Amino acid sequence: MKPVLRSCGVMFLLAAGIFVGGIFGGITTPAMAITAEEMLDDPTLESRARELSKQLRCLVCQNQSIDDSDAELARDLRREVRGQLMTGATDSEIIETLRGKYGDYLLLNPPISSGTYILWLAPLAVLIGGAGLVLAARRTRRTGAATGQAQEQSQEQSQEQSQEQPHEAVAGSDDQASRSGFGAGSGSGSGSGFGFGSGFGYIYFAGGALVLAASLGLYLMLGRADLGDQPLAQRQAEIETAAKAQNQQAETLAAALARAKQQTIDEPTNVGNWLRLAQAAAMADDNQTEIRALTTAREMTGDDVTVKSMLAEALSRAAGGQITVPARTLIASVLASSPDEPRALYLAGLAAYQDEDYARAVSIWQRLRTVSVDDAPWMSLLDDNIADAAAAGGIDIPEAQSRPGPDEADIAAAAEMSDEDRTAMIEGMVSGLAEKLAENPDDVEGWRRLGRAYEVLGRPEDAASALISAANAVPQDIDQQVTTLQMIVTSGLGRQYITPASRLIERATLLAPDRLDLLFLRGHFAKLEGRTDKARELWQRLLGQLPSDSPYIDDLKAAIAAL
Amino acid sequence: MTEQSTNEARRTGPKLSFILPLIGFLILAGFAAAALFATLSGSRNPAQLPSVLISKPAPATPVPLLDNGLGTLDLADFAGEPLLVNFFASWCAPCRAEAPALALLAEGVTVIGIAYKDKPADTSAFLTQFGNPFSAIGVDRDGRLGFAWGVYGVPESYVIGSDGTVLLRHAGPIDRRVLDEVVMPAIKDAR
Repeated sequence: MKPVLRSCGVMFLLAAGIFVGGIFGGITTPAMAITAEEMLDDPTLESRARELSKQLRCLVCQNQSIDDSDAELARDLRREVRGQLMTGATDSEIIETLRGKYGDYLLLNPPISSGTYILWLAPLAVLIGGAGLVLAARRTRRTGAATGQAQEQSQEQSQEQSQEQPHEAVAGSDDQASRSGFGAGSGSGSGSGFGFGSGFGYIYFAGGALVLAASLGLYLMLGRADLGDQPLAQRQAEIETAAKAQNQQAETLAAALARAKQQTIDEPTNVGNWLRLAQAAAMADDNQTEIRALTTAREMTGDDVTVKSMLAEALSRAAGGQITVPARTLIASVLASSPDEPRALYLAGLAAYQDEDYARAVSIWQRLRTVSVDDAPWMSLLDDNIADAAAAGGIDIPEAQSRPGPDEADIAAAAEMSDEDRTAMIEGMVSGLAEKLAENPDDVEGWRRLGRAYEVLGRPEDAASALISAANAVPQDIDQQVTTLQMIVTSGLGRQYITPASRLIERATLLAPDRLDLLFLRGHFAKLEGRTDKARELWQRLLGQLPSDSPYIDDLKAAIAAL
Repeated sequence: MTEQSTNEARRTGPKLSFILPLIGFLILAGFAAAALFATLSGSRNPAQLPSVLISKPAPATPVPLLDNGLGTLDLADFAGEPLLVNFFASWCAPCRAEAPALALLAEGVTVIGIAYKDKPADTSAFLTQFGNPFSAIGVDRDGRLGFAWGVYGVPESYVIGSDGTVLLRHAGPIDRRVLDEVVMPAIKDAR
């Protein structure tokens, strides 16, 4: 056997394997998807319908005919075929109508056209090419060396013998020994290249047969269509336990939801009840109730920005996480009036991310990062999202995320310790940070962190000092001035820190004379300084500028009256 | 004798029997690689089938309007400007995903919706929830219009030129990338 012929033989074996595999595959495929109600009463028409269906591709599944496919579209097309058969159309008319709608791709048996001639001609070309190769090989053999004929005979002889006694060829009788070990190679596979002794044909053959037998064995053991789904059966108990636990949880949540509902019925004017109902509904995955509760709360609070943002979030959750157009409208209206609302900022970033506008998503989320306190619960999620968006958009973000001193993880770890240990740990970190800040007083982020750490340690005076340093480090940052002043006021240190505070107030007033929260703070410090008239004037001004439905109005009126 | 036969086999055998299948394999591998890279780069999408409607007038099967079920949707009413006709359904998840992109598109282009095999009540609820970017909505309850257009799944969108001919079919949801790279260029060409 010539090497070329042998490789043709190998290819034949492969082709045979594919063919046999195809037969097994074909046997296991469910033959039809058609339902009884679709069938036509006339058996002739019905068999024509079946034949036509087998020629038409299901455009959804793409490798099934509409006769095989369970897809909705396949059912429609089957119905169409039968409908046209009933009107007396011929097979070719039906195929032409459908082809006019869906194109050549619909036909599983593609017509010869400029796009498909390779498909049709390739097998012919391969056949002709193969025949040419065989002929060429024969010619080489005939016109070969003078010893060619003798060699042929010798080779054929050896082939016959090894066919008769392949094992003896390995053992090596006298006769075979005279073949100088070459014949032995046929059985042992010790040949060192292509086109060696004739026995190699058997190795290929045996190898191919082995692969086929092994696949058949595997198929019969594991892949048979009538075998059950084994892994699923093994996991059945596990699945049942999980389902039971899930049911219990669902019952608990449903009970909580029912209680919350009852509260809104008992006391419908309490906004808190509606918000609690929304929360319970969110836990119980009852989006519709959540949206209703938040809509009610929104009306009651007169378009409170937080409630509006929560509603936007609920609408998006109901849409499977997609920031829907109505949600976007809500978010935009929230951000127009309060550009720092964290939930609205988060959702706006998510909307940009879903629009694949990654640069905008990163910038919105980074803005949220700067307006959030550092131990906000959404911080780690936010950082992950920023990293995601930056990676998706190929954006470089400055490594400002890792800072020295105690971070959220440290503070969380501290919560696990005993009181003394915790205090010791935080104090150790705090003194280290304080030393660093003494060297580098412009590190505003460091001062903020130090201030927070002091608050945790219950040292409000030190916290106030740290925040004043933060405000001094960024004198142009109006937000930092206001935040520091608010901290001083809320910890009741106003009188003690009146001098540095008035400096901050002067600075902030220059930056934003009409800022509402600043007006309140200015009034507060004017009151502390004993300038009651000034305080009254400032607070009256604030009262005039607050929207008429603001929840602060009553408190503010009371404060003015108390002056 | 056997020595010589070995030599001859060495001379001719390895060449033909090794090189020929190798060439065949490389050609096949080349086709596979070309298809793979085209798919990865997005220029080839096996799910995007060519539409036979391209450069032909859009089929004029009348369907009722969603509003009241009394009027009839007629694309000729919108002739003179490029349109996007979007087949959608409330039961179709990718249709939700394309709502923001359609809303953006509707700011500058007339978008016509065809509710494909959907209950009008469900369609209305869907539009309330996800926004309504459509200038008009036709109801294709039984999919007859979809069949006339060769629709094989929702969402599916067609760009119609000012003269009513079909310029582009996009099967699958329109996201920002599709909007910028496929739909908008087609509409720009149509103008």
